[in-house]
Amino acid sequence: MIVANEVTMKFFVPGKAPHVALDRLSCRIPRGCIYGMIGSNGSGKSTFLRLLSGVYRPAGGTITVDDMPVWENPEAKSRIVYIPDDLYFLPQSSMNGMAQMYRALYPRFDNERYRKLTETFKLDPAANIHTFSKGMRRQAAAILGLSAMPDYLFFDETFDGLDPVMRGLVKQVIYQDVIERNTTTIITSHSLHELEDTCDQLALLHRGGIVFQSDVQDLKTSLFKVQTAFAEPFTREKFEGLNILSYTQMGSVCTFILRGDKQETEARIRAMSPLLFDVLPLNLEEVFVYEMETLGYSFKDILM
Amino acid sequence: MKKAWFDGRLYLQGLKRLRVIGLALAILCISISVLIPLTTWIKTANMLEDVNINYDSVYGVEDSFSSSPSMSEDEIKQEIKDRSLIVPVLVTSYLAPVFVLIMFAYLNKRSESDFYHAIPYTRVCVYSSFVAASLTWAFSILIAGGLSAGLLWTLCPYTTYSFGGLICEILLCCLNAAFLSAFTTVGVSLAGTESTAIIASMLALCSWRVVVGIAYVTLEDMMRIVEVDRIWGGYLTPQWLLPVGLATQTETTASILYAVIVTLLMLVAGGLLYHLRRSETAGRSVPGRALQIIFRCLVTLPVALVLTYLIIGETEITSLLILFVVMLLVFYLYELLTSKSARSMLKATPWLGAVLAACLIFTGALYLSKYVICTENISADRIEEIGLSSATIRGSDQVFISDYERFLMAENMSDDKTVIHLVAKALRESQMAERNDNFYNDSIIYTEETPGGTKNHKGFVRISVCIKLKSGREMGRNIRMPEEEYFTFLEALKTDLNLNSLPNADEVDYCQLAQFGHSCVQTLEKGWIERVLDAMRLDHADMTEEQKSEMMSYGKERAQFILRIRTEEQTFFCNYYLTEAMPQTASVICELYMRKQAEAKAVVAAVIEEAEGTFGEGHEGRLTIGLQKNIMQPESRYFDVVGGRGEQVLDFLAEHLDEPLDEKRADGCVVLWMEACYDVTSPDGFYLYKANMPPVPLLLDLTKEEYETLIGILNYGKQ
Amino acid sequence: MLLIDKFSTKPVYEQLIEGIERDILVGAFAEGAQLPSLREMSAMLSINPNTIQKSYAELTRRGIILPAHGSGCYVSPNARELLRREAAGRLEEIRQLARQLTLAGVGAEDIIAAAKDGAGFQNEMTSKEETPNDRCQ
Repeated sequence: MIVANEVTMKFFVPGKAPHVALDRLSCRIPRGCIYGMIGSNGSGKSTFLRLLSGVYRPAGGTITVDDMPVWENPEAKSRIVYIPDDLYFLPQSSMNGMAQMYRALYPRFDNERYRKLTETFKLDPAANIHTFSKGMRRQAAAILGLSAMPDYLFFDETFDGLDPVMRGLVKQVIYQDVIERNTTTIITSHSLHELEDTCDQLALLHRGGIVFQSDVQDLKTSLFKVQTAFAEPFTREKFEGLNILSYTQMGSVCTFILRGDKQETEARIRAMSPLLFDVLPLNLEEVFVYEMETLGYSFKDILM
Repeated sequence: MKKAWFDGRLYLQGLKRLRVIGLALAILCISISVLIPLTTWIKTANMLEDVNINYDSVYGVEDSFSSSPSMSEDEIKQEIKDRSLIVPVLVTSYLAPVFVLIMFAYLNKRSESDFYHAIPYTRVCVYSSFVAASLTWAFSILIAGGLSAGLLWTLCPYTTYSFGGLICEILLCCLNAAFLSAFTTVGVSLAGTESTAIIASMLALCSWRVVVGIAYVTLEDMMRIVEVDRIWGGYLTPQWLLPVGLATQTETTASILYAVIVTLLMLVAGGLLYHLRRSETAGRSVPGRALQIIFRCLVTLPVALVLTYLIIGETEITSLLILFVVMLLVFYLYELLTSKSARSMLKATPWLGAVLAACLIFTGALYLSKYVICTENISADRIEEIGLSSATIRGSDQVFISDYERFLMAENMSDDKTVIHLVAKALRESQMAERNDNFYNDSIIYTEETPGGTKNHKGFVRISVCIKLKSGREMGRNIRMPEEEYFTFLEALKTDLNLNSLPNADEVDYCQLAQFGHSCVQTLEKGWIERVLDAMRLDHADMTEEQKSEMMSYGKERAQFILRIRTEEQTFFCNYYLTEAMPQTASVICELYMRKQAEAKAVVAAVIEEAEGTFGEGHEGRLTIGLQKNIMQPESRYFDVVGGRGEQVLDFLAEHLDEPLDEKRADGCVVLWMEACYDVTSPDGFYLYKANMPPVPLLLDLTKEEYETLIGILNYGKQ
Repeated sequence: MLLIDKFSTKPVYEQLIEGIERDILVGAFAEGAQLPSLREMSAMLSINPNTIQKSYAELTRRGIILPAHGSGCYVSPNARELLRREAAGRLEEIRQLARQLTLAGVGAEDIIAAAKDGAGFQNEMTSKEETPNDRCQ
């Protein structure tokens, strides 16, 4: 389990005040969870992952993996693999060459799995990695990372560069690991769609803090949209007592976003004898937008 | 997994990472190391073929032999060999930092840096494994280069060398490599780009050395009354400021120990910095504001200090201006290039002030030390002993000082009251002069009227003394004394140290008997040295001052003894010439010649035989003859004899060669030395063949008439 | 059989629960039969095993499926009965709804027609189910 407690990270900028990349971020990621992180560039996703991998040392707060701090802890680090956005391979090396290095550096590297994965992904393990396309390089990095049999696997925007078939394959492998070894995975992405597909928990990062964190599927049921009309003129006060996030009214038809129990709400409104009453479910993106608005952010600002 | 300090697998990875540059350097180093002995071999072989001069030609030996006549040939060979053996290896050792730079190049790029910080090893483990890999490559190349050079030197038939010397030289090169690499580890751990890493390493290596070095030079300029070397216990010298390899004249145990300690310290510092390093420094020049400021100041400091030095030395204004501009350029350009921002360049200006302030402090410190030295009150009653630097002691018109006396002065300290009093007085005077910048001003202090009506302008004599105080403190000073006082000083010194003596046999480590200038030289064994000195002492007891003086001055062409006395710091050569007042010594010399007679006769006989027919019409044979009527004769005569006369001389010698010598009359014998070149005609022309003649004099027992005949032949040929 | 739309507004685990329930009722999963393992489900449907775990946990809570000795789950012997009872419990909802609809002015005939329509679907399913049994007899 990953526990981050009030983690802060600062970077020195010559001539200016230090840039705060993470500002008292706290979260808990249980074992076996596939945790998605979304946020604009510079929101701190990569910084967080680097802190978790032991590359950075937190300026404040604590980061622990299975109750052990990661910093300077070879025991913990041997079970963590971080696949960054900016990949590194030995110059002029093939996958086999990199596998050899991984084998030497990571004690749990499994040759059998490496071999199987390279076959599955149809990559030539003896070819120079620098001749690969960007997507293929990501695959190669993913293969190498997975072969190290980590308990904690971090993908930093890796999926964004893979084609759908490859994405599916990698996901399968991750799912297997979750089942077999309770591997914990963190995936960062720019695409909500991508994370919706794969993750069971989702967090939105903005300016170094977790703005929003929730079970992915629960999000879908947390809000719903109601459209209703009445014969008599009315205002918003008619719906006093309901937890309304967003309200628009045009003439006698109003539309609002509601948090609460669907059945109960339905009963209440029907009791008011509406002319028209529709309950519409929301997709994840819409849920996100409205949740952000309640927190005072404009989603458009954050994601673009 | 325990927290290990070192990991074998990481180490192997490190070795792999360096293999390209390692192989390249290995090839370069080994091939050049092998090339030098190989070319020497071929060159010497060719030389011997062409000229057929029958002497041992070893790379560089000839030159050195001619310039250090008193060193034995073996010693010279040894020295030359050990020095020029593995210069390529030495040069390669200076390239060792390249390994560290390339090994840790991953620290300069974000993606690589993250990778190597994410692997499951502690930072110390990564650091030590990678440093070990860099040093392994460096050492292996140096050892391989050194050994391959050694192999070639061994195979080459014209050279000999000591294996022990080779190993020592290789080890010193390795130490040099480690020394420089250690500073580089500090540099790479601090910085985030290649260029900054190099700058940081150089700053770590050179900064304090530059400061101390400039202080040294400035003090030397400022102060005459003290040897800067002797300040701070003698550690303010280049040997302690330069990497070991450069100061090859100073491979003392102390300097090697210093290098080892500094290397270890720097490696530890590098490790500590690596441990504390913030990973996000990758790609950026420096990790923090503090370091940015420190670098900026340290880079400019050397230029500023040089400027200070020039200002103190009152150099002309144009040089100062140029240097000032250079200083500004260095400061601002460094800032601009590392921070890439014009604004920060301007914001940095106050730190320029800090640099200038440092220079002011520097200057202040130097002037303060000068003031302290010039005003300390060393009165005569505080002084316990005076020691002298023999290099600066000169005789005066009235007093002659021989080398042995110099040796004695260097080895002993005097506590004579007069000596101390005079030194204290001179010191006070010198301090005053220094304060007034007057030390070298040889102003006339008084004139003297001599009976002849001439005025003698007396000046100052400058000497270096070591003053040992009763408190135990030792100080070295240069002082100037008026000539009159100097004379008194020397007299007192001579009496106190008993300077008018002859060396003891155990002080002398090498002795030669020379005649005919240095053409004819014989090295004496220990037993003989004792006999010679004992004989001289016997003679000495009965000699007058003038005779003693004559013994030590060159002026005649009699036999002389060259004695070498060595101390840790200096070598002294004492020459004693045979005079008429030295009968005992003369008879020992005769004995020395007598023991070589058989050899001498055999050589001359061989020459006579070989030279048959090579003198005379159409031949180019040549003889050089040195002749002395007897050992006591003050003059020698030299003859160059060619052609027919040569034939005649050889005939004459053949006649008288085997006559027995009356040993008791040996001192009345003719002493003869010879060098012969005769031609040997070969199918493709002729060349001059130098006879194999060891430089030994031959004694011939000739009557007066026979002697005259010989002279006649030598001068005009037989009539 | 099991169709999951990951991007539907309905949460995946809810879709999965409903799908498994449907398959049990229809007979695709017989009572007492072993359910596919997490791995098989995950591979088949390409969904997060944690999600599957959630669905299984919910179904286990309701007694529809039971954990097997060792690993995996199997359909409990009285799963269909349980499901029917749960469903039946919701009849009251229809009554409530009908009341509301009437209050709102919806005609009783329309309400009944709608109910019948929906029930017809159920009949279809049951008739399909009984036919194989008939044949056995």
